[in-house]
Amino acid sequence: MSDTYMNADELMTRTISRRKLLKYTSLLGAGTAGAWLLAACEADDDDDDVADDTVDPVDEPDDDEPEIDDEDEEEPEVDDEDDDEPADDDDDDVEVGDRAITVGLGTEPIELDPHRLTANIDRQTQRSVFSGLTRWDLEMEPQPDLAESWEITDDEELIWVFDLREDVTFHNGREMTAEDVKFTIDRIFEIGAGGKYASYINEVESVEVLDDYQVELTLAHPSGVLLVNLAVASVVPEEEAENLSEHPVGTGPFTFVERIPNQHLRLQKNENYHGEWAVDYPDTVTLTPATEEQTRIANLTTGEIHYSQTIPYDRIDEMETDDQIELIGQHPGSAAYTWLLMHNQRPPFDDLNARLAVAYGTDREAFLEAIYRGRGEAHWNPFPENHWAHADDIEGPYYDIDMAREYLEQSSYDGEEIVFKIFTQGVWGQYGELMHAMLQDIGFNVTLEQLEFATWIEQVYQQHEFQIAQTSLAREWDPDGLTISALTTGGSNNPGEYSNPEMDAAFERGRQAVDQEERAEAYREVQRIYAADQPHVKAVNINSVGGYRVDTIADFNRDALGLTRFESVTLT
Amino acid sequence: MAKQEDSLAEMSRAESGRATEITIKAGFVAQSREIWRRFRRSRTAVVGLAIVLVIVFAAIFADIIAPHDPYQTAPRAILLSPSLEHPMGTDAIGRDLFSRVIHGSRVSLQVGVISISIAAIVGVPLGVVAAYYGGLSDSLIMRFLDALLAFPAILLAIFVMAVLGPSIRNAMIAIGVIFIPAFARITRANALSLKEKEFVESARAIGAKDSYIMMRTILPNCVSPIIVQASLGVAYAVLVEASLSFLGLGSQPPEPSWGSILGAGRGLMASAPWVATFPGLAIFVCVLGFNLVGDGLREALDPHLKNT
Repeated sequence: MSDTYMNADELMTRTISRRKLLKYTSLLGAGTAGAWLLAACEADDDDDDVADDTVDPVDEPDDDEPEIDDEDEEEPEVDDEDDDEPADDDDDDVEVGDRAITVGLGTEPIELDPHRLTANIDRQTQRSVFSGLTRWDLEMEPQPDLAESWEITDDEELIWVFDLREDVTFHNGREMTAEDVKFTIDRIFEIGAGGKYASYINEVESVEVLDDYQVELTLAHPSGVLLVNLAVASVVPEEEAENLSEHPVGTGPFTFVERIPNQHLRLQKNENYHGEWAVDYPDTVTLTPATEEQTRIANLTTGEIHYSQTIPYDRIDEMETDDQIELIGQHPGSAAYTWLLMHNQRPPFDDLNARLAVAYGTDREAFLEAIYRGRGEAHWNPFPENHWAHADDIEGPYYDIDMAREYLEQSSYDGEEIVFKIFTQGVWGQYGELMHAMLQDIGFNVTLEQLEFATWIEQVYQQHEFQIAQTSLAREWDPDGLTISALTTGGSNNPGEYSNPEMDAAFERGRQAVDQEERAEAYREVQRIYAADQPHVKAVNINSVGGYRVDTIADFNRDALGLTRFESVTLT
Repeated sequence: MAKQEDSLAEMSRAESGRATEITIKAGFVAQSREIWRRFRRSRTAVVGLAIVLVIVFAAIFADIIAPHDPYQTAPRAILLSPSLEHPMGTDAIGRDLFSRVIHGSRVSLQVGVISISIAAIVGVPLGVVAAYYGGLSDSLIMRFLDALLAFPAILLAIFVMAVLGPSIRNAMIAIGVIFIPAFARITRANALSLKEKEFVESARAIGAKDSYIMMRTILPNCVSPIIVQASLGVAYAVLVEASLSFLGLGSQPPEPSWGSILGAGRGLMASAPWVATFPGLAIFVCVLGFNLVGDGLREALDPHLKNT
């Protein structure tokens, strides 16, 4: 954290030339009013950064070349949802500010390296700056992206050949080739548990470059999720790999301009973007972390920001009546859920009875009502009811305080103090206090410890230094992906170090099965084991709501993770 | 022979000590009556005293006064507006706000009184020592305290909290530390003039030890400005504690403290303004009360205003 801060500072100072520095110093010396100077100085810096960091003056016509489609089963699909946008002709002389949108985020992006990130918010920049071999459409189904087609070349379904697009350049101007794909996948495995995505694609055994635009992936076993999960393997250029945390360079619809901690992160339209599904999107997107919800909402109503990633639950009713603001939920639904993390290898929660005590003592309806105003689903099962893998014939824990106390009685816990690590952004402060009251009610002796979000991530997710902690899993719609990393041995989202070989095997079956029915059966097994083991206690599936201003934005989107594809956003 | 003289001197010293003690005690009773008479004359001071007494009463009998358990959540009765059942409404997870505000007075008073005691216990002796010995020790002590004073109080408190970690005990220490210079300076200023006075000279002349002179002759005469400083200090300490808790550095949830209730209510200003309003009012009234008492005491204790 401190690292990235320092580096971002460097980024700022670097852009001030010596001449300017002298000028400002002398001005200061002359005793010019401080505030005025600061304001002027800041404005100057911004402009310079944009100018300095705008890369690739590569000729544009390349992008308009007709595509050479291979004879494959899937053709690159053009999302037609953007076709109906107004014929707003933007000539080249349009100023940057005219087609810019400002977005209010609930938390600040932490890690910009697409292979090392952990927080959900970091996937927003990943999504905008990078692309993978595939991408998710708005239904969270895989579509061609950097790979325009693919083919399974053997009978055992182990060897996949991907044909890459030939018109893709990185933001630094270099052409993207098969070598970069190989480098990327190797890098993800090299980072391993230091990042989020190694477990997504761990069936990939080797990557071979056939020629500049063809790459062959050899799998350890057949996979039904490879295409879905390849979307997170953001292709990065080797020459920039060292510096991705501070200055991400990819092939995505936006180039990274700058990040000023606590102020903003700015992205600019990539004029050479290859995706024909992206039409006439904003020139500049500025992400501003406004952790103070009320400020963010005030900024939205006054037009200072054009989109707020979340609307506090207690303000939704009021926002619905505002005709300047359009609310937008998660699409096609939300698989994200809140859960109580428990360290499965340390007392008292290495004891199943202690975990079951928590599972039965958690009043899920209470969370849904009090915190989320009924928006979501209160159920022990991590898969929401409208999900294809949801099994409703499995018995799981429900709220029953007497049962909870009975389990606690049987457990090895005898009243020692338990530290409950929380962070307090948004509703999470209330959430933690409510959970605390429930834990006390069961009979645990719990002390709350409030941590700053970045510290919390470090202690809980990186060092695994906790007994219990509250968190949410912003997982994808598919039951693979993030869910695997939360529930299997050594998974990157499994700080509680839960380990059950049967669970691992069930997920493995789900991954290997190609048929959806077969996969669903494997995930039913997952739910059965989950219900019995309660490695963590799921509380509610949350369905958050965002809001955008209709005077600026014509069409907006928000996927199952609550994130936006800015390349599909159209302005009025 | 010499021994006899010695013991004689000791006897007379002890006697004179007892004598001063008696006169001080008698004087004190008369004096405090006089002070009370003058304090009573100021209506605002009496109002302030009444406020302080009410808050002290609330803090002591919080368990009896509060209609509900301040920790009892009610997820199905969240953010209820004020009613007979909940005179100040309920908060975001259904806890009775009135009970929390009542219990919050405990935290505030505790922090106010204990942190000011810490400041006085450390600051007053430092001030007396600095004034009495002067020279190098004076310079050392006072320059160090000046350095402390150079930081804005809240900033210094946040710094101390960052080092010690957030908790109400550490908040007391932090607030205590930031008030040390105030007590040391005010004591030193008084002690400097007192040490030239005849009764100090006479104590020295009969061979009293330095510690005796400081404790028995100088200190009792510095008491009134220290008392004034303390009562004003409590008001400010309550405010600093509220600020720290508001920022999440003071009392830790779920402990009710005015600052932390206010901090949690800040996000709800639009939909449930009462959550932030009542603890805010409580802080306001409490600070006002201690300030009025402090002002009243200053007037009552100031010898220059004796005959007005």
